Amino acid sequence: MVLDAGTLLRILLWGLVSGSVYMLLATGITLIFGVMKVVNFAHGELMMTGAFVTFILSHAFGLNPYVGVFVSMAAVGVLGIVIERVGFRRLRGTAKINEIFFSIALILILQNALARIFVPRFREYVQIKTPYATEVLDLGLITLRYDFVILLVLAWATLLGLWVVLYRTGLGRDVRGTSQNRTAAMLMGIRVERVDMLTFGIGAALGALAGSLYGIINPFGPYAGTLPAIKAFAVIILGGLGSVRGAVVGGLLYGIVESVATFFLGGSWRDAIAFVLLIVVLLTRPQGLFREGA
Amino acid sequence: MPRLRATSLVTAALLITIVAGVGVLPALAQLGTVRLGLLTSMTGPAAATGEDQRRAATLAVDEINATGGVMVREANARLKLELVIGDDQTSREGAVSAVTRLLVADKVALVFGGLGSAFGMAALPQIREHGVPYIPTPSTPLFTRNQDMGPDPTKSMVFHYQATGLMYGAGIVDFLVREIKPLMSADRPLRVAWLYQDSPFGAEYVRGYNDRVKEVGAGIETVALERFKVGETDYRTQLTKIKALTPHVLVPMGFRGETVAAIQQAVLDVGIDPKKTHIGPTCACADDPLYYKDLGRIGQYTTILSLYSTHAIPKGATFAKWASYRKSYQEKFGQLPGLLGVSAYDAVHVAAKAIERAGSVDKRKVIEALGKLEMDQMVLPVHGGKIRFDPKYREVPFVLFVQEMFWDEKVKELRPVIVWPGDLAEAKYKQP
Amino acid sequence: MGALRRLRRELIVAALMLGLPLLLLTLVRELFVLQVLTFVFIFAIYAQSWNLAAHSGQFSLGHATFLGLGSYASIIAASRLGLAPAVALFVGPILPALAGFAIGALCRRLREAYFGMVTFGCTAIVQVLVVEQFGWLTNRWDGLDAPRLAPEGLPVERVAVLNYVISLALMVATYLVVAAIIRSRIGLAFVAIHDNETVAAAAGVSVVRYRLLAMGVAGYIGGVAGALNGHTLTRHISPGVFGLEDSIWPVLYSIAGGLGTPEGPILGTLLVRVFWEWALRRIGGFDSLILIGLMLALVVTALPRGIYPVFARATAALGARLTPNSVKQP
Repeated sequence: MVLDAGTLLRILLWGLVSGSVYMLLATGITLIFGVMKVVNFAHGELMMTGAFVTFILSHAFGLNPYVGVFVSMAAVGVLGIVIERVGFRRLRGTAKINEIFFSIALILILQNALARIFVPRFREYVQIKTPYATEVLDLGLITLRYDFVILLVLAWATLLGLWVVLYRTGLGRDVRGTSQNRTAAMLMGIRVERVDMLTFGIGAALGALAGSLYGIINPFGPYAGTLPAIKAFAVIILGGLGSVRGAVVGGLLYGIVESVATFFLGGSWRDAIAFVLLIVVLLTRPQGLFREGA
Repeated sequence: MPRLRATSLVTAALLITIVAGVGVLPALAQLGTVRLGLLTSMTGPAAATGEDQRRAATLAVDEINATGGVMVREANARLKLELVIGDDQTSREGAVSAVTRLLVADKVALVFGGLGSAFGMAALPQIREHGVPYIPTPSTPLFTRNQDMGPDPTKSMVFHYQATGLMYGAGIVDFLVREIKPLMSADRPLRVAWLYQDSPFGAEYVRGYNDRVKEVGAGIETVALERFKVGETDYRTQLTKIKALTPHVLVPMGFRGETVAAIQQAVLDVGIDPKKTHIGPTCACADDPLYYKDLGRIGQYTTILSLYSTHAIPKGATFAKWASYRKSYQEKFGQLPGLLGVSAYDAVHVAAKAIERAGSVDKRKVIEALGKLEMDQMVLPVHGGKIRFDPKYREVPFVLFVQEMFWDEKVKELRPVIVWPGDLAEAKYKQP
Repeated sequence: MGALRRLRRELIVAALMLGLPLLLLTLVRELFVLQVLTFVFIFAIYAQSWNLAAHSGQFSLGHATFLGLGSYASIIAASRLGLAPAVALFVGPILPALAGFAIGALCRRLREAYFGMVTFGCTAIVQVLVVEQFGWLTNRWDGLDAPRLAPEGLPVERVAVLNYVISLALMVATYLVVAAIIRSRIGLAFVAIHDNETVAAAAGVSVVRYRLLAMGVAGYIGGVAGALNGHTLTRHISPGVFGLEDSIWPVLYSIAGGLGTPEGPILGTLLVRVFWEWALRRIGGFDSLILIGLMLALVVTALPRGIYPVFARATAALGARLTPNSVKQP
């Protein structure tokens, strides 16, 4: 086997790209967890809902997916807010495991609602077509599809935007405060219910973005979100529950590790790698790599 | 106090179980019909193909009922067919549950259909227990064979109506050796790389391929057997590894969506040049209208090993039946049919014929009739033109053919041309 | 014995739990109902196993490990080692019990979400191992056929009845065992650990030992459910068992029924499973699954402590009204 520079570069590239998707997913989940201490396993379904919205906007209305993405984020953000108000808020104060139960119910509802709408018409998979689907950038060693470049730019730009919101706005301050110490935040006059709602919305929107970007470079179906979300959960545990920095670094690193591991160990280990990593790390540092908190 | 709680617990439990029992009781059997059970995936990831089977089966049942039904000598009457659907929910547990319902609650005379090898196999123990005739349509040869691929006498009620993974694998080798090797590596072994689905379905193809390679002798060198889990759609890393091995042939094997993604990623992202590396033959299950639409121009010169084609058919006896089936399906459902649907359609006709020959719906008599059955081929082409389940494995020798894809500017889609085997080919394989 | 006296209530419940379905057996001849209820009995055992681990604060999201390993071990013991299925049924689960100890040890310092994720990860890893490393034994993705629990020559109807009765008996036995554990000092230790580990440790409770015990016993019981399922209903085992679904069932059933009580998982399995079957059959397709999701969402938001406590309260109130001379509930 020829392990040349082109090959190595490609492996890193795929890792970077899938890592960016994981990063967005993980950030959304960790934000929600940090503020509300809620575990929402249906995040993968929010991801797919976002992907499907972008797909429909592109397929039925011809809207450029890179514009449609923002509409999708808004729509799923609103959906997230509704889910928070109608579901997770009611479960506050009851056993933690109820949240898991509720997310399972959500998974059933969202997955099958999406399937009901899409499967009869579009069958198992769809893929979001962009105007640049076959255009490539020739970098000598490798060729890179424009879509990959745009994906990376969008992902990082969004994170930058998130950073601005978190560290330069009042809402961001409230979110960080609530995440660090809910009681203190309440005492300080922060309206934590409002923060809960908006954080869930933001988290969901990030999931929608992750889904849309994923859906541009991969075929997807109603069931495609479950596994990436579970891996994202593993990532945030590694990175530290509630830590955005941990989610970003962890997501990216994980993408690359998964790519490298698949190359050397084969496709069968691809999904299990996240958990081998998780176990290895937790054995040595039970609290994760980073500290909790934004 | 404990006694009270216990009593109330009891009363409530009794009420619940009775209500439950009543609630799930099956509808009474419609008198005077022959019930056929279609066991397939109506929900879950495979639901779209399950729907194809449901439609096709309905088409067949309606056709037969339009002529008055099936003549059952014992009942001294023509009985209509009734289609009952069992949804395996694209899962093994669902398959067990669904087949149990079909056998025990709906009391079907025969079970047929299916697309997921694993789910059909999950239903097998129940089928064997009840001794009901079963005409499965997924491709795994294990339906009628044991693990070592020998005949399995405990499965004598199973009649496999589908080309097996073994047949496909062997077909791939034959095509590569006859047509591709002379063009790409006449004096050296042909380097072949596989990217296949890590599942019983994929494993069977590889087994058929490996067995045939052993038979054929030197000439083929398998340089890679990369796998991906079912449902996975990102193969870039595996493809990168394959590219580094510089194969002459890349065989991407999986469902339609997986195959399309694999080819696109191979060509666009990983940089595998279709002029230097032959891509194909891909799995017959990919032969579907959406395949031609989604693959696009980069699918040019790729090949597909088919049993049933969306756009081309070997000229001959099956042409009329294929055309008429396609027309009825399209008229009724507004979409083009796929391979699994056709298999279900044919299976209904086979079942009806067997019941007629048996003169009864008695399980054992129908099984016997299926064993002795000889009828004209339906839509799927069979060697010799007659459907016959061979006595050893109870499989049918289907005709497989390879098509090469060309870009058709008029319809802005790929269109196939049959290039192998020689007696069915419309043209010779063209190297890009 | 003191233990038996303490369990008087549970013994009565158990007797009724045994008696009612047997009564049903004489009234209902519909094979299909028997099959559905057999499934309920077996999965109630599985849910019970999860419930026990949850009692000690260990909310496993990878319980399928036990279900699957129990099936595999029992089937391999029966087909390769020649053990009678009825014996393999109790020998096989030793493997998942050991796995339970191992996982418990691995996760001994992990809590809540961390614990859940690692247990989930263990299932994913076990699946790869079963397919790859142990493929020669397990037949990789094809899986293994399971010898029948019922003796040869028995007609289908008799087999169904036998499976029904055996599964019922095992479910009731499990119920009593778990009830006994919960009512004993071990059960108290579990609750103490669940509530507050630091305090428990300070009170002299060996946290690690009890956590391991809980997971080991849960592993065994879950393994029995898996073995039973393999030899009666599915007659086959394959690596698909280590997927997501089978880890979710016991969580669903136990929480719907009501955590913390030995009756909860049984009630939950019965209600959820029956509703699921009904919906799938009467409505079918994606709509039925959406409906089930909505029902579950409704159940958890309206009844966060599960159905059993409401049920118990209601029936107790009913009972109080029926027999006015009874002692009032404290």
